[in-house]
Parts: sequence; structure tokens; C-alpha cells
Amino acid sequence: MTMVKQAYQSRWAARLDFPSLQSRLACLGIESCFYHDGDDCVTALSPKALFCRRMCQAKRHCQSFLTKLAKDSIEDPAVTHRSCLPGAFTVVAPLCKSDHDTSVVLGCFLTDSLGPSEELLRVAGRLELDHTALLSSVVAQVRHQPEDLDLLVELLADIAEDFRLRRAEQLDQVDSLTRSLADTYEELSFIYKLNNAMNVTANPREYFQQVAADFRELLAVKAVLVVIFPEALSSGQQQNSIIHSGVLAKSAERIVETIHSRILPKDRCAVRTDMTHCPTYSATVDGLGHILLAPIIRNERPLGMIAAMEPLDGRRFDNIDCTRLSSVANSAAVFLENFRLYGGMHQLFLGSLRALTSSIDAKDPYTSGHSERVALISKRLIELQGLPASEADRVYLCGLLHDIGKIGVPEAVLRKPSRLTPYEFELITHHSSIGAKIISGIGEMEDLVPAVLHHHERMDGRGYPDSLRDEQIPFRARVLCVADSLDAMTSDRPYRKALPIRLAEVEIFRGSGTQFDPALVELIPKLNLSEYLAELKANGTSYVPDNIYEPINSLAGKLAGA
Amino acid sequence: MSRKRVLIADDETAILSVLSYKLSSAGLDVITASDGLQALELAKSEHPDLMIMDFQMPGLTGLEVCLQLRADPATSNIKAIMLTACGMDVDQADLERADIALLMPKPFSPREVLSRAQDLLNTPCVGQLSH
Repeated sequence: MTMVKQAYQSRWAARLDFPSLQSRLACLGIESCFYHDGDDCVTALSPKALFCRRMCQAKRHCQSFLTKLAKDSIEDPAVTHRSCLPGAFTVVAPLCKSDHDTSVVLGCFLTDSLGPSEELLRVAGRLELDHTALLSSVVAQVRHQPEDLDLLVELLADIAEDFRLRRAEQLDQVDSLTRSLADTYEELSFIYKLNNAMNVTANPREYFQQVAADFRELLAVKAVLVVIFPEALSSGQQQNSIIHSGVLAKSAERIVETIHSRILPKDRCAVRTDMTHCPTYSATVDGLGHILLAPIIRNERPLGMIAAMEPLDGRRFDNIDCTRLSSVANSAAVFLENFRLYGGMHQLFLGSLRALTSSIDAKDPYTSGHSERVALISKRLIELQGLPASEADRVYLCGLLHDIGKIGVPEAVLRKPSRLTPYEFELITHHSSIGAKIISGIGEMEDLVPAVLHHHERMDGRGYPDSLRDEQIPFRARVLCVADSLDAMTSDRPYRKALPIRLAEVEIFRGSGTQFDPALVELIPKLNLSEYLAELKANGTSYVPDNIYEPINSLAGKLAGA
Repeated sequence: MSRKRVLIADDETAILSVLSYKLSSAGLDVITASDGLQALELAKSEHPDLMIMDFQMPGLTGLEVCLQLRADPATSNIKAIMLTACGMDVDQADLERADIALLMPKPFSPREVLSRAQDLLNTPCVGQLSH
């Protein structure tokens, strides 16, 4: 165990670069070793310190002697030097002292008065050391004049002090560099997170809530406030959207009102303001007077602003904070711009789809608005089934497109007021496969194809085009089938008048299990169809996406991932 | 209570210094290794309470180090956090086999690593409870 401990090279010694001190002292004929209270044992002496090393190897002796000496000196720094033998001295000098670490250097030196003597013989005997070998190692080691002793002690103390100061300075520098490196890492991971979350399908409120919370932590401030101007979201709302993280003493609206004037339209970068002495402001917000403010601007268009308020540790905002806020504001601007563009694109997409389906409905004036209504009823059925909104939106698209294949059916057949011949009926039945073919060419709509293809299948297998049965029929197609039949029966046709809604519902019930999926038929009473259809037919409503915060469906995800 | 000891192993010096600065300022006793073999050796000799290791290191990977430590009852209780490079795919089964408590993808936030490390150090592990 002693050997293990002797060979032990302390990591504390490495951190303090003790080996360089050890070699400096060796040049002066002072052998040295290092003690750290975390290790609780001294490091090895240099190989040149033959005598001292030999003494240390003695059983039950020097290792514990040196360690004890070091410990004593930590407890009582007044202990300066000790003589363990006539002519052999040990001096302890402090190297480092902090809350966690205390370390000292132990200097060992010999003087001329150490030589062949009774005392040495006695010590060698007591320690079970070879007397001749011990004596020869004394000669091999540097020996000083006895009168130089005090000078050497002073020298060691001076060198240790100088070393300590210089090392402390170096470590301070390293610490401060490391600290700024840690800050940079923090910033890097924040920006990375910010960009990762910047998905066009993200909900702006959630996105900015996260940005505000993360940024508050990064900057270590009391509060972060994000203001989005109404024009940035083009959602038709008139007021600013305000998102904040941290405790605001007064209402966010009041704060925004007060600080808004601080950003001039020409400002492009972050502004630091001290509003602690501004009477109107301090009445509004207590203890949030130091504010760092940046506009969110895209293509010269102000979209909002972001404010960090009051550093936690009483420091003042600096240039680094400004840069960070500006980069957050830039990311926010890109996010808002993408969101706006995406929203526009989504509207355009829905508009084009609707134009396409209305052109089909126009071929057959009797079915005007049919596709839109089937889409809405199907969407409602999906919601009643408890499926996610993304699925409901997808099924809405199926509804819009289900009859798109009628584009390939002669108008004369579609508009024929009398009974269809078998050939004409066959022409009509082609519309589902034609429709499936048309949309299968559009990659983003691939998942809608089965619903369009099979919306005329029947549960009893007597439908078309593939005579599928029960579970073989895709779920969306079963939904479309119910919705399609409901709307067809309640609309006028060239060959008959519209059925009353009650009667149509009864017809659906009669077809449960043969034509329709019984699970969906069960939902009919909950559909409250009479009011719903009446309303739709009266005002020709077309589907308006919800609030701009939530118009995004799975299609958006697909587009973003494409 | 004695200071908790954490072993950090990564071949990137910058990461080593940032993490050891962050953890030692929080009062933890930090030891560092710059490759897998050194990490294994230090884990055996210094008995840290927690290891924070890079997945990809010269010598042995972080996963290999963990697996070897798990095989020895003396070191099988050391908790482990693994740092992974961006986009690195780590097999869930490997993680369970090596008993790695947490994966942290780079770039990580040093503050978050510290708070996760503290959370882990404050939860007694099953092995310790049974003693």
C-alpha cells in the first residue's frame, strides 16, 4: 500500500503544474514533494533525491512522517521547518488554499552536518535500512552549508509564493476563458434549439413561449416579453399577441404600451434602456427597469419586438446580450415570415382544390356544392369518431375530391333527367377509378387515393369498382360513402326531388351493415344533420380554416418534410 | 456528506474544460479522461458516483467503457450520462444493456448537463438502497 501511495501522482499536482516547481527547486538543491488534502498523501520525490527517497521507503516511517508534517502545517501554518535527523531538514510552504483545496509543498534538504555518525547508524538500525547504502546516498545528494539554512527556508517560501501567485493568475485566466467558452456553448445550444423548433407547422404562440422561456434562462433575466403585431400573423385580429416568460408585476399590455415608444421605426438592432427613473414606467413595472429591446423586422416590415428585462444578478446588459437578442429577433422574423408564407400557400392550395371541385359540380348544376358538403359531413363524422384533427382535415380533402373523376364522364349522362341505361350507368361507375387515377399523380395526395377509389363500395360486397366487403373497404371510403349518400338523398336530382332529412336518415339506418358501416351509422343521431345541412345549404358556406394559430393539418407536416 | 465525484471523458478538450468548469463550480469533485481506456482506468481506481462520457472516443467507445464497468460489481453502480454527436443513432437496447441513464445530444447546454447530473446524483440507485 505504501508503495502504491508513493508512486501516486496527484491530479491536483498536475493541475497546479507542480512538476515544474519541483524541477526549479531541484536546481537549487532542494528536493520537494506535494501534498493535497484531497489525496491525503504526498507525491513521490524526484529520483535524484536518493537519501530522502531511501528514508521514505523505510517501513512505518517517512511517508507518514511527511504526510503528518504537511497536515500539521495546514492546521498551524506557523510550523516552518523541522529537523528529522541532524543535518536533514524539512520545510513546508503553502501553495494553494481555497474552500475545497489546500495544498502545500514540502522541501527536503541536507546540510554538511549529515554524515557518518552514531545518530545515523542508530536511525538506520531503527528503520531497518542498510547503513552503508544510506550513507552513500547522502554523498550522492546535494548538501548545503549549515549557515545557509535560514536562507534556504526563505528561498523556498519565496519561490513557492511566486509560483502560487503566478499559477493562480494562470488558472484565473483559464477559468475566465472556460467560463466564456461555457457561455458560448450555452448560446450555441440555444440557437440550435431555436432553429430546430422553427418548423412552419409550429404554433406561433407555443414557439414563442418556448423561445421566451429558453432565452430568459440563457440571459439570466427576470422576464422576457415577445410582442407580435397583428399584421405579422394576418389572422384578422386587431391586437398585439403578447407572450412572456417570467413574472411581470403588472399586465403585459401596460408594459408593452410603455416600452413600445422606445423602439423607433428606424431601429434595426437591439436597444438598451434604463427606465428605472422614468416616472410613467416605474409606476407600471417595479424592478424591471433595465430593458434590452429588439425589433422583429423582415423586409423592412416590423413584425413585432422582443424584450429582455432586468438581469437577475444586478449586472447591466452588455454587447454580448445585444448580439444574442438580435440573433433571436432575426430567427423570430424568419419564423414569422415562413409562417405567413406557409399560411398563404395553404390557402392557395385549398382555394385551387375548391376551384377544381366546383368545376365538377358546375357540370351538373343539380349537385352544386355537393363536394363541399360531403367534405364537411365526413369531417364531422371523423370528429364524432374521436379521431385527431389532422385526420379530420385529411378526410375533408377526400370529401372535396371524391367525385373529381366525373370530369371524365360525359355531361349528357350526368345531366340525363330520365332513367340511365345499363351502359350509361357503367359510364358513371367509372368516375371513382378515374378520380383515383387523377389524384394519384399528385404525390402529396397519395394517401387520399384509396378513399376516392372505394367510396362506392358496399359492406355487403355489391359495390364498385372492386366489390370489397366490410373491413376490406378503407375506413375513409366508408365515411365518404355515408356522407355522400346523405347529401345525395337530401338534394334535388334530375329524376327526383330531395328527400326530407329525417327520411334520408331512416334510409341510412336501413342500409346499416349492407351498404354502410354500422359503426358510422350509429353516429348519425349525434350528427344533428337537419340543422347542419340546412345551414350549409342556405348560405353556401365553404370551409373556413380555424384561427390562423391552428389551421395547420398533417398536409402541412408533409409539405414541410418534403 | 462528502463531495460527489464525477468522471468526465471526452476527446474534445474544449468540452472537457467547459464541463469540468461547470460541474466543479457547483461543488462537485471532477476528474477527467481524454480517451476510453483512461476513462475505464480512472473509473476503476477513483470510483466516481457519475460518469459523463462522449459516445465516440479513441481507444474504447463510451458504450464499451460502460459495458466493461457493468461487468464488475465494484463499478456496476456508477451512473452514466452519454454525450452523442448530432445525428448519431444509438441503439436503445445498447443503452439499456450498458445502463445509461441519459443521452444528451451535442450541442448540449452545459447548464442542462449540470442540472441533469445533479438530479441523477440525488437519486439513490437500486444497488445502494439494498445495502
